[in-house]
Amino acid sequence: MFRRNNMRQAKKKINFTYYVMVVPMALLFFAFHTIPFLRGVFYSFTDWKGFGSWHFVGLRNYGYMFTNSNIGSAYAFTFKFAIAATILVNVIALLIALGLTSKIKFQNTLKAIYFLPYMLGTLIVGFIFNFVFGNMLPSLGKFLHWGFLETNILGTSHAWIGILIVTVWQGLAFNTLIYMSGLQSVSPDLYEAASLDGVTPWQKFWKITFPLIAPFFTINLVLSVKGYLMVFDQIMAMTSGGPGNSTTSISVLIYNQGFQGSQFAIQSANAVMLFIIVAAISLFQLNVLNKREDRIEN
Amino acid sequence: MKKIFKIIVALAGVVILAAVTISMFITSGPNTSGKTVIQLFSTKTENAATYKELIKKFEKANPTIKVQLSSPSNAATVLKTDLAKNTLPDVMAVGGDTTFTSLQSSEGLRNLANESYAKKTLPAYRKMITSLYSQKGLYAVPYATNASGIIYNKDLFKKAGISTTPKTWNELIADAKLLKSKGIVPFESAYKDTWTTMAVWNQITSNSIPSSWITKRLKNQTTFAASHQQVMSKFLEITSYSQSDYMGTSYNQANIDFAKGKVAMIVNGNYEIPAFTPLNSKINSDMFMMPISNNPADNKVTSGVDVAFAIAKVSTHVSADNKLVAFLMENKNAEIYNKEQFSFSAIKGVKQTSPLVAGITDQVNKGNVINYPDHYYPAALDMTQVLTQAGLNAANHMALNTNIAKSLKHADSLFNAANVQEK
Repeated sequence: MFRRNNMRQAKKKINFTYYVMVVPMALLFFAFHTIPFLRGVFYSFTDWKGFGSWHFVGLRNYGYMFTNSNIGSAYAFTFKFAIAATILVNVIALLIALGLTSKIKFQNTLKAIYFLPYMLGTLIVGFIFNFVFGNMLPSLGKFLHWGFLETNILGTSHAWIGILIVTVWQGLAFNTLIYMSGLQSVSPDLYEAASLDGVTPWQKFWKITFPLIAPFFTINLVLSVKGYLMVFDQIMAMTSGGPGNSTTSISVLIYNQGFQGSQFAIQSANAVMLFIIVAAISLFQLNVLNKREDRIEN
Repeated sequence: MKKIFKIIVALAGVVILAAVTISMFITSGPNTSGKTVIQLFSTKTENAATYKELIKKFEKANPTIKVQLSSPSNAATVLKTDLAKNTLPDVMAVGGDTTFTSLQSSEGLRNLANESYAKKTLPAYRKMITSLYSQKGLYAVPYATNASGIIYNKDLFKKAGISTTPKTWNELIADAKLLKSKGIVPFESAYKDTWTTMAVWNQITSNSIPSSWITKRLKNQTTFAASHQQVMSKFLEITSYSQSDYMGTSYNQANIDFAKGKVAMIVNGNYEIPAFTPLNSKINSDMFMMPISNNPADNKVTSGVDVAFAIAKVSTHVSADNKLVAFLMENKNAEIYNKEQFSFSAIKGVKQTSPLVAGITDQVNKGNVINYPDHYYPAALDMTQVLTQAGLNAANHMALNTNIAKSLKHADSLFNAANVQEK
């Protein structure tokens, strides 16, 4: 009886302001995200070309995905790219964050410089680097007689490395910011105590800093993998998937073939698959990394 | 609990109202006080300035009509998303290609066969439109036509001692060798912009492969590997006489290099001319027919409908749409268009006199033309993927025969994957 009373009181106490904050966003999300998504799922079971009439075809589109070599290679490229980008971005971002939170001169200026790429739109960055790779670096290469710089990297079999460089450069800022806020949450007392015990900087990082910022590591890893599995803008701006299909990511393929190629239904199926994969990987990461966090904390 | 529910309902109402109002603003566009507003959608970006000039004249003559021009750079995709939403622009200037075929097959276009302006057009080009679909009627009126060929720098040819343009494939390659030996880059290829590969491929294919091939291929009675060896070999021969970074050069860069007189030839079409003339108005260039066969009499100019006007069935002011199309198709306006775009007219009696295309005008006027083969490929087949990969293989020094075999196999597998859905 006492407990129930208590619960009722707790219910009454909920302030309406919280609903005002949460409900509009939920409605907008439902209208502009969930409904289109459900429609996409629906069309993945039809033969809709993006226009005209359609029929139900069951799971045919999902079967077709396994027969099309382009879809397979898009998945291979996307995973290769996402893994490389996630590792590079997180390692470099952590190093930069360590540097920027230590006592150095021009700290704020440097922070601003590192954050600048994030404020530019991805497409703009892509177009800028188009020019850098296409004109500036080849002229520099010719001037210095460095053969490997003389050709536009985006027109070679290494085009994906060009895109990777741009992606890492631009993606760094966000991850650095999260790591920095993580590092600032570590109490300086711990470092003082550690220095009294005479630990090496390496031990300090692995035994104190890294375990304490583990939750930030988790969120960075999940966000990076999710983001890079859906890489799109920079590829459209720089190579639109070429040369050949060497830089065609899943999202680029969905867009190109779905609209230009009139394969709306097939690419809807592809999009559903991508969603399932991204969701599964994110859940898996959260599970594994949370367990690791728990272990560290105990 | 009731109160919370009420608030949620009220909020939902507000949000929906706001969304509706915003969307109304977006769709209705600027309100121009009682004027009829019609949209003109163009799938080409090169001719926007010419349209603007003609629209100004039209609005002056028809003060009650306002024309909104849009020519986005990814036009085919934009149109198809419109189609998916079941909203089409009033008047569409489209090419005679798969984008138009999808519009037509969705039955979103009006039959224009009985309009007076349709009868002014040349029957050969009307046929190029009607051959794209099986229904009766004319769903787009041809306006301007393009002609592929080779754009060349006359001064550089003279410098290398070439006095007449090549008439056969062997002569073309001999000239390329000669230019190379004089330190002049023979061809500038811009395969970073993947579509430019098609300009080369289409000209070689149309002159080497009979047009009945596609019907057989769709029924799996033949393959690229069985029939296109020569075509792929010639395609790769052009790349072997191109500048070293042909995979990393963009279309714009190619135009800059050509305008600066750095390269002798570009394999593309007349539509490229307005892209480089503003960079160097004194450039001494012309075009010639790309000679594919070694028998000069067999060679034809690859030409297709570059611009055709279509009117959407959903348009609510058809008479204004018709007025605009009729106006653009008046002889004097068509002359302005063709003069500025270096294109050829599909309208009887409108002639192209520019010296920049003089070398090809005769052939077009004689009707020695053949259509683009890729207009008949399935929409989902991205041939540029095959061709850029072949170009990349060549740049990576893959042996020629291996490259040809591999690329054609690649083309076949993509064709089969694309063909499944077409049924």
